[in-house]
Amino acid sequence: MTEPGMDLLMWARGTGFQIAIGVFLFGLVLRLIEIFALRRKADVAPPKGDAVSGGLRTIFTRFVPAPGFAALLPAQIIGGVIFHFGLLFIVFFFVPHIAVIKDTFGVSWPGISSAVINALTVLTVAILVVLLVVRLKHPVRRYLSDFQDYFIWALTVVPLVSGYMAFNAVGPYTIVLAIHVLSAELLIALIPFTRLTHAFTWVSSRYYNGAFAGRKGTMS
Amino acid sequence: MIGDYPGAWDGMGEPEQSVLIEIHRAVSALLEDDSESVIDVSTLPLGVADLARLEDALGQGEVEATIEAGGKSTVRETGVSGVWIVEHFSESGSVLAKTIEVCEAPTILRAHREDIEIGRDELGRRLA
Amino acid sequence: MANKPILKEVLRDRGVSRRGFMRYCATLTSLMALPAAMAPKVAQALEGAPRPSVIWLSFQECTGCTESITRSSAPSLEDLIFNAISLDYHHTLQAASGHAAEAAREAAMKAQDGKYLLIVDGSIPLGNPGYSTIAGISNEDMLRDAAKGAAAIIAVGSCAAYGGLPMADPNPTGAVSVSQIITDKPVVNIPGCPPIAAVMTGVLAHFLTFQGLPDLDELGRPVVFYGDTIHDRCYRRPFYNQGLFAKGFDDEGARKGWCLYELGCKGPVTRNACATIKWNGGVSFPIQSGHGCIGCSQPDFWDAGSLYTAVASPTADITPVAGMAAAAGVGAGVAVAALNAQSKKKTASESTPVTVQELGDKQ
Ligand code: SF4
Ligand code: SF4
Repeated sequence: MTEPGMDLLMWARGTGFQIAIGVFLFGLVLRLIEIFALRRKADVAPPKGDAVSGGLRTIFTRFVPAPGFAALLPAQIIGGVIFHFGLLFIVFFFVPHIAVIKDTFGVSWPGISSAVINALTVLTVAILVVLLVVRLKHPVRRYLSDFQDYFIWALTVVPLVSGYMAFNAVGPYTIVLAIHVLSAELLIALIPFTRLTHAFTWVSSRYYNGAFAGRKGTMS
Repeated sequence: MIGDYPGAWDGMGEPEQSVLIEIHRAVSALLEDDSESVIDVSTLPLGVADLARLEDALGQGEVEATIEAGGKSTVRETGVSGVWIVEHFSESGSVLAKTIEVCEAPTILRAHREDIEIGRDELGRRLA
Repeated sequence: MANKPILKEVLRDRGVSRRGFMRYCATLTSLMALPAAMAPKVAQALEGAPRPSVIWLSFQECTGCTESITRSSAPSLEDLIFNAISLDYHHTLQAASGHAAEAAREAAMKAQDGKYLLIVDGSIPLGNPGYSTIAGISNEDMLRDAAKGAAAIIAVGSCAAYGGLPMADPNPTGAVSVSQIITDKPVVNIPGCPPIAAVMTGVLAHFLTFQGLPDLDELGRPVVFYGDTIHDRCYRRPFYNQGLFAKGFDDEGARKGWCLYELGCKGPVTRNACATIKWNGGVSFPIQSGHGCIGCSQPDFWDAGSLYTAVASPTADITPVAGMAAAAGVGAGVAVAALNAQSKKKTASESTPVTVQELGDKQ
């Protein structure tokens, strides 16, 4: 006899966690080696600018949308920025999350008020919903979207919603917590195998584009 | 306004007002056919502040008694005669049970036959 | 035991007045979440005949449950309730022992067939009956035999309810709970290691008052006492909501009474009445004394990870898995990179430059 959800929670905290971290590390290492092993033919043209400074600059300039884009895609740009920062704070500054990191890796840092995280979660989920609606309503964007776009949307939204429910004691806690942990593990495990890899490659890909353009003496 | 009770109290939330209305009905019933009622406060949907407002509204009556019978209990008459607040405390002083009783006198206050008999017998023994 | 004094006299002998008894009934009524007007009915039932016969069987247990109930608050009014029942067999509390005791049990079972209340504490070893016997009778046989004529069965404590400590990994005796053996009758589970005395007496009082069992949840627990989690009713909850957590048992947060989540409190996943009824006559409960809930009333709580690890934190060591995964990732990465390089070369060697002719054809 077990409390509903307890077996699932225990599995998620043990085997599930091991599998998730294992798959994640395997995939991440594989993808990074694969990417960095890619080679281009040597560019024999004389450089017209500096590749390194171009690369470094682009890492930062890409934080700012290209001129004209902001007016064209306000929802994506403003929503996207808030969403990314929201996610960052929720994942890394919610005190119980820091406890998990501490119990796993032994490192910790101060968290921020749970009430703030709670509000951020509502905001972040709301933005995700808006972004989904925008994607669905615009014919071109809908045409450009494939299954993975919707899949990783769901992959991100489930841990957020279940985490909010667990914290606010909505629904049976044990089951909700089990779903939260499991869905977060699924998300972690699938990062290297989906577009979510950008969480780890955004710096290097910006540098690459920037360096390429820099050598040509142009801006990226 | 709730039911037939227009604007009972100012500054009162709806839950406290409904309890007051229930008490009013209970007092009327006591007058009509001697029927007594008890309300377990812990089952009421009242927060600490709501409860304080309710007790304020009922006011303070003429009787206040402390009973030591296997633990401390207190009985307070409210400003509405016949409406009592009965509390039972644990050894550590926390409230074990709290009721609002509508009756001439709460059972816990009255001397009971069994105890009276014991008293009479004891007194008789001493006199014998 | 037939000529046991009735409750009225017992009360008098102990110097408990009628008022004391009324007070007890009033608190019990409130505790059981019954309408307050029921208090006189509870009183009537507790003192009214017939007193049900109770047979209490102790299997693989530590006597902590019996201790909890008999040592409840002094001057134990809770134990008065045992005078409202006729405890015909309890091998720790009864005077008789050995074959005389077993004979009394069998006599009571025969005389009260279909009417007695069976209370069980401790788990039952199925691995080898020899692990626990009473007068040469295996626990399983005795339970099956006693359950047959029982009006109701109450499993007291986490061991009887869910297997408890004896069943913890690796379960050397093959211990099982009462409900794993008795499947044809409802079993009331009163888990806890030990359970709160007032919960136990509350269930007994319910049985006496209504001649039936209280509402049970899917794990056989009375809903009135196990409907909420410790976390639902914990007075430290505001700190949890604000994200103020004690990080050690003697740090500033601990002194300020902050939430014990990070110190491994299992309150969020534990159903029990500790936060409301509390222990030792309402004096305190573990969280109030500065220690997180260890989840003692939950099934398999011994195997639910360290008592001091947060309830959502991993229980497994990931170092070996991480090492292996990273190594496999390196291997696979190198292999894929080599493949990519090869296919690139192949494409380059197999492809021919586009001619102006071809471009012209395409248009
Ligand atoms: S101390 Fe435990 S039960 Fe209380 S709020 Fe914190 S986690 Fe919940
Ligand atoms: S607080 Fe938790 S561990 Fe302690 S007695 Fe209650 S349920 Fe058991």
